[in-house]
Amino acid sequence: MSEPPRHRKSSSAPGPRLPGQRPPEGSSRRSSRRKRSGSLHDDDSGRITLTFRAPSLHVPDLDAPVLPLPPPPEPAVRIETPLADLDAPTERVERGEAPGEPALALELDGESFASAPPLEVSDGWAQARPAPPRGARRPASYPPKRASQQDMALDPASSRRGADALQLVERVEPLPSIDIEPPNLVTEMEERFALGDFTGSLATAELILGADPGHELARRYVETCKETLERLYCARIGDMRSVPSVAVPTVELRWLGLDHRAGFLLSLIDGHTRVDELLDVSGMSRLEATRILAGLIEAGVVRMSEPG
Amino acid sequence: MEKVIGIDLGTTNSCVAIVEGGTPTVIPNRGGYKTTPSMVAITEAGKRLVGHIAKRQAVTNAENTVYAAKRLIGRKWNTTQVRSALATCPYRIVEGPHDDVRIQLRDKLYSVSEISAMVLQEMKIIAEDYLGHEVRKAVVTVPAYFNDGQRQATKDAGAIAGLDVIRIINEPTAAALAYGFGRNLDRTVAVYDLGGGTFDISILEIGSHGVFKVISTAGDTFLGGEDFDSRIIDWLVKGFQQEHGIDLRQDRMALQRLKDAAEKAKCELSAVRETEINLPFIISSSRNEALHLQRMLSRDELERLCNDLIERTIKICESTLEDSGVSKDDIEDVILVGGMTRVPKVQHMVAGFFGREPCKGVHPDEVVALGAAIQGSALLDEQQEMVLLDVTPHTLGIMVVGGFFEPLIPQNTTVPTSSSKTFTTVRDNQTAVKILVLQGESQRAEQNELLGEFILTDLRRAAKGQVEIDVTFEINADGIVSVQAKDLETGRQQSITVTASSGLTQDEITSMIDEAKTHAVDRRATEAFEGTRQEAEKLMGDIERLFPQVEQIVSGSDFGRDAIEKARGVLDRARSLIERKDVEGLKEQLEALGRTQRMFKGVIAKTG
Repeated sequence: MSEPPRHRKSSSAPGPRLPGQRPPEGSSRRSSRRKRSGSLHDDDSGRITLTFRAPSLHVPDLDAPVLPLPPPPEPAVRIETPLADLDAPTERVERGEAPGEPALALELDGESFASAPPLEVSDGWAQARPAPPRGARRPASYPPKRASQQDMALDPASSRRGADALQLVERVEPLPSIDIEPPNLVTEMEERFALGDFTGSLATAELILGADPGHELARRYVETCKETLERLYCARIGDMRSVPSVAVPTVELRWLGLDHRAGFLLSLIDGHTRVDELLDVSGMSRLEATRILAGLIEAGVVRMSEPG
Repeated sequence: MEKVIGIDLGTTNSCVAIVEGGTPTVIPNRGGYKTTPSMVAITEAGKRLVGHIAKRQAVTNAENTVYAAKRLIGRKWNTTQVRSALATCPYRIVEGPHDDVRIQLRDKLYSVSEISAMVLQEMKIIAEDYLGHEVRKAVVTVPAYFNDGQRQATKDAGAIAGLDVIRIINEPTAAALAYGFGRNLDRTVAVYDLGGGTFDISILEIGSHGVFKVISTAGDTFLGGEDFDSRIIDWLVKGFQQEHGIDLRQDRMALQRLKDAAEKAKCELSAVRETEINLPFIISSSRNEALHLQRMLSRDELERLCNDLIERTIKICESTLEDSGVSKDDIEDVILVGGMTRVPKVQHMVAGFFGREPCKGVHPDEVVALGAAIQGSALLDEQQEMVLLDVTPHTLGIMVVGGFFEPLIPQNTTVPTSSSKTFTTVRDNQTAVKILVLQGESQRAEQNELLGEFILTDLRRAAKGQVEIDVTFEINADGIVSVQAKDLETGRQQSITVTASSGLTQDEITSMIDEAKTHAVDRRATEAFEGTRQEAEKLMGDIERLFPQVEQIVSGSDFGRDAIEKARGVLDRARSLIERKDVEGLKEQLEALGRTQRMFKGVIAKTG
């Protein structure tokens, strides 16, 4: 939670870029902040573990309206949570940790990450803070647009100076507007995309399309975000010809915090069906099926075996 | 010698068999199952799914999954069966250009023969994978009640699938063939066939010297294992609704799971007295809580739920015996066909009705395919003596005044056969009569199927009832029907030969054959590429794993550096070939990859 999710200049993502989009700037600044707030180290297995050392953070808009599109977990970042909390919002993971302890540990698989964007564009902040639907009242604690205020709200370095994130957020003046005008959403969509928050960008783009189905830019963002997210999830799943199997005994399954869609996908896993076949029979969109499967793999509910 | 496969093209499941070394054998599919669901689906991405994989998404992709296409094959658009299918099938059935039936999957229309061809093609591939060479000839089974059009449509399906269907035989005949294989029997048997979607009962005479004759056949095309599954689903849904107030039928994913679980439980209850149905996370409540379904189902409960269904089959058996004039005592053996006959209650009720224990020597799921394979083998082997005598599945006749149907050849008449009847004019000075050739069991002509029509003209002008016209029906050994009308006074005559039509033109069939061939070639090419890619990637993985070690060992010498560069080149080339899907290039590259892998292993072995 040390990354300002809305700071456009902080992204150095060489990842997906829409036609005509400016390359992101300010990567060096972001890097320096990363060094301040966390550590990056490589273990023998080739996995990179990034640990943020910061006091627990409060996400300002916990009560923000939930988007119609369920926000998927981060595709390139692994949040280590107990199995029972799989379904719990990410916010819950972040609360209640003692200052000085690792607030959030992110693990990046070196190999599968090769095709994914670098760390700076790690997606998934939208899960903690989904964008409100168009027309909804922006909550008082909604993060402001100005980058400097955002930095203060979420910068762990600031927190260590004696003020916790909650207080910092509360000092921000609430936006006076009630209706979110399309131009704001467009900016938000672009910013989120630039930050690598493809889920958030997708959700925002879909909101725009909901209000204006002919919005060409939003449509392009939807397509690109979907492609990108699917690619990221696929990278985490691995070979599409490999065979998934359930790694948890049947009697223990119900103690996992899964939803019925994950339950359905899990019911299709029989130890013989390949991933590509599973996606064919899931009855879900490919994006959703890969998202759920990637989540199940990361939660240790499903294990993969080599193709052939 | 060329092999002939026997295919049981079922309403719910299909099975393929072959005779090897004189023994008929069922060929399992890639998943190891001996039967393959007769289901075809097209995914959102346009991918074609056939068999088990299509079944597994049948509920979640219901609009684009075809099942029970056999109920529609060769049927005319305006028939009761098609109307029933329109009311019950979730996939889109539309009228074809020749008064036939078409099915819309995604944005494409398919004829029913094309859909069946996809299933037959799958069976062909299963056999080819097993035999290791191409298969061209097949014997395909159909229900005994299938009319000429349905048989022709099944033949067309075979042709589209790249098969030369050398014979179509009746399912009960095939079952009796397998039952009597290798035994010189002379007896009357009943074939009780309760499959996934249909029920058929047939009475056959098996004569010595391999003569098989269907005496009578009847059934219900909407009664089968699926109805038993539905009863279990209803029971589960009702229980869940009482407990949680949620109708699981409203959620497609939940319904798919219920369907799979119901079928599994039903199968298990044939072996055990009680089974647990456990479906965690079946649905989420309005409060977003995941809900689970867990219930015990006993065999007694299942029997209570499905008792009326089994009784329905017994009633059909009763009426069939009555119609055929065969008494229960005449039945010397009862052959059980279809997976549903494993249900103990079914076996018990059949035994109770016929007054004898059913024959246990044949496998109910495989017996029809085995019989077809035996027939195929016999057709190629001139030394084998086997005569299959078929019967007319429906009554044949003409329309007479008042719109009534006048039968000439009754149902279940052994073919070849012929029959004549004399008719008179109904109006004064009537100079022409129209002969409408019909097939069916209704007394009303319009409720039967029109096979053809012709007009006999230039009749003598006379008072009504004075001109006599002789109408003769003839069916030859190939099942071809010809009808002749003759003015007995003048000797003037007209005739018609009823050629079976599936509802497809020859051009359509040719185009479908080409399309199916292209699909088969593409599929084979994809499989060949995937196989080679797997092999290549395994070698590449080995090389990449050994790379750091080898690099370290040989880094000191120019020769070593050169070898490392070459190895890198081999890997890069393989990656590029995989990306381009160049199967031939990749096959050639396998040798280089293998050499590199061996070299790397050798280097490590020598130094380590």
